[in-house]
Amino acid sequence: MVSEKLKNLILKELNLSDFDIKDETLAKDVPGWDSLKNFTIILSIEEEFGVKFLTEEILSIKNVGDIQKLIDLKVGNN
Amino acid sequence: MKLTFLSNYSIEFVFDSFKKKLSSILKKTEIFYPGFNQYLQQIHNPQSELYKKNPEIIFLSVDFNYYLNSEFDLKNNPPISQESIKQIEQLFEAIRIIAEKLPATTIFVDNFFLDSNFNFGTLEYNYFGLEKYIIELNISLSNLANQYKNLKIVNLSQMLNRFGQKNLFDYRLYYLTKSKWNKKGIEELSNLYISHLKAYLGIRKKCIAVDLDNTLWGGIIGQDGIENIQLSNDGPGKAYYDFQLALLNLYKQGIILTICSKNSENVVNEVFEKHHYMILKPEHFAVKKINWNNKIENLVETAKELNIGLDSIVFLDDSKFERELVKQQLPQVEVPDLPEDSSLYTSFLKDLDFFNFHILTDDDFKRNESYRLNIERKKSESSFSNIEDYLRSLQMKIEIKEIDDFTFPRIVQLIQKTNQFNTTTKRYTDSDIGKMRNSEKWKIYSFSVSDKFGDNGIVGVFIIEIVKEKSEIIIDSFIMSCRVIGRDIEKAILFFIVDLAKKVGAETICAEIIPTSKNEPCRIVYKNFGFYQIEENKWLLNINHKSFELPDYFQIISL
Repeated sequence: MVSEKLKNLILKELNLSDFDIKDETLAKDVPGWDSLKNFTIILSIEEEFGVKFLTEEILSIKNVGDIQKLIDLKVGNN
Repeated sequence: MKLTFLSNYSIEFVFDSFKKKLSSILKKTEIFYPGFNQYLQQIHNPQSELYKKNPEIIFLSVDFNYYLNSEFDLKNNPPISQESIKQIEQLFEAIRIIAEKLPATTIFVDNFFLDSNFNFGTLEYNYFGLEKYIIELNISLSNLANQYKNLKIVNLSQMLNRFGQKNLFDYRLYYLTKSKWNKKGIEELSNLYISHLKAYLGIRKKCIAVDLDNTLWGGIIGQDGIENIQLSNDGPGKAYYDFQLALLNLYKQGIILTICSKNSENVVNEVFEKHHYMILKPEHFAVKKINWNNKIENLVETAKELNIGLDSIVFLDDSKFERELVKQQLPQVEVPDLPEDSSLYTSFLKDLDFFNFHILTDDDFKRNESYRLNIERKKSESSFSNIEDYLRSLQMKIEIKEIDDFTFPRIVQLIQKTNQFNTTTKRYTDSDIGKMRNSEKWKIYSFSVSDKFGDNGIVGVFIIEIVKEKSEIIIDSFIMSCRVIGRDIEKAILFFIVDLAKKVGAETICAEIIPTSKNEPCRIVYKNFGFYQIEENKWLLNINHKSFELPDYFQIISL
């Protein structure tokens, strides 16, 4: 499940006041989430959660749920 | 203002941060970016968007390392392929083309750096010269900038040295997005571009007011005594010495230095006179407020004596208490937080980004001298009972000159910087003035003022538009440095303009005042000269209806 922390961070990066972000949400479903923002969001997530994704992992991300899984995996490992 | 970015990597990643910073210095901007790797096509095709847009500013950010894309040739020196060398040559050619085709555009070009991934390590400088090749390219680039006035170099390699490539690059992004700047890199690159825009626009502070104890030297002079304060060219005292050196360099660029310190003047004078490493001398400070009054009062008086706005002052003080007081009471004054550790003072001063220049004019070199002379003038003024006698005693000479290559930079500088005596505050840039200069409709003049105390250099500009069909001339801009306000010089200039109107066969002189929050000092200039008001801010003078006499305390020399 998408955590509040992740959801809020995405909304903040995209300057959105509210948007229903779920596991299956794709970047293209969310206003303003283009390929440029994609990387800004990834970098902000790394900063906020204190994690670092591999290039392959970034490539494997299909939806918001994938991001959450990666965060959980990394934070769990720490 | 229209800006264009040309790049061989995805520089759009920088735009968000850049635009945010840009909005604090420019209101209306429009950014055009044709997309990654479109720069050669845009430059070579005369029908391209680049030329249609005819931007005022171009940022050309080409990362040389993207050219190192084919097999290296280790038997060659530099050990790179002919292909790569050819690409570099094409880039230089392209820079020449835009510099020539867009003479009114200012082009900022990043200088080159070698990505550490391509560095040959211990072989560099010993066997191979890839780094040396980059340095040579940068010299060629700098030569090109000497050749084309509209070309300015962005010292990207120094920025990378300062922060380090590993701190600014993210190679995941390099492979995924064709831009290797990480968040910090994006911030620093946009800071660098903003610094250049500030230099271009003349946005800078005029004056640094410094505290003394624990700011120019370590310790408290009143308690520790001259032999115990920290100030030396070696050891911990060197931090203060280096800070003074950095301040002195700013002084030499025309930034005014003043003292604002709670101290007894005689104790401080002893340091100035006797301390061997006191590299800043009393004559470097235009105003010295060394007393026990509060600093608010002292700063207000400093601004008044120099005739500059409080918002032109940067206040440097180690005491958090004093800083907070000034921040609260005088929010216009810039009060950066001096680091607690004196070893960081010099690097802190460099980071401030308040003092960006692309060139230094003669007037920058002379400015401090001229402020000091003004203070002498003020002292002498008090010995006269009326202002005319005082003005007569100055023996003023005003030299008026049509724009030429030598006065051009100073004219643009005055247009960009002057706030108080500026009738319309039209901020013409290099390129605007370049265009106006080539048009018969416009006449651009600068004037300099000298008197028995010394030469003030070029202190004013006026721009005249000739409207032949109406037998009228318009005073489009009338600008005068605050250093010479209060000496009736505007009367002499208007007298000259009347004369000019006669020469070009005009009967009326039209003038406008566009009020700003700062240009109070010039609002009644036309009224005082006898113009009559035709609209709220419009003034007209019919030169046939009146005779004009130049006050006897001026001598006008028209060149």
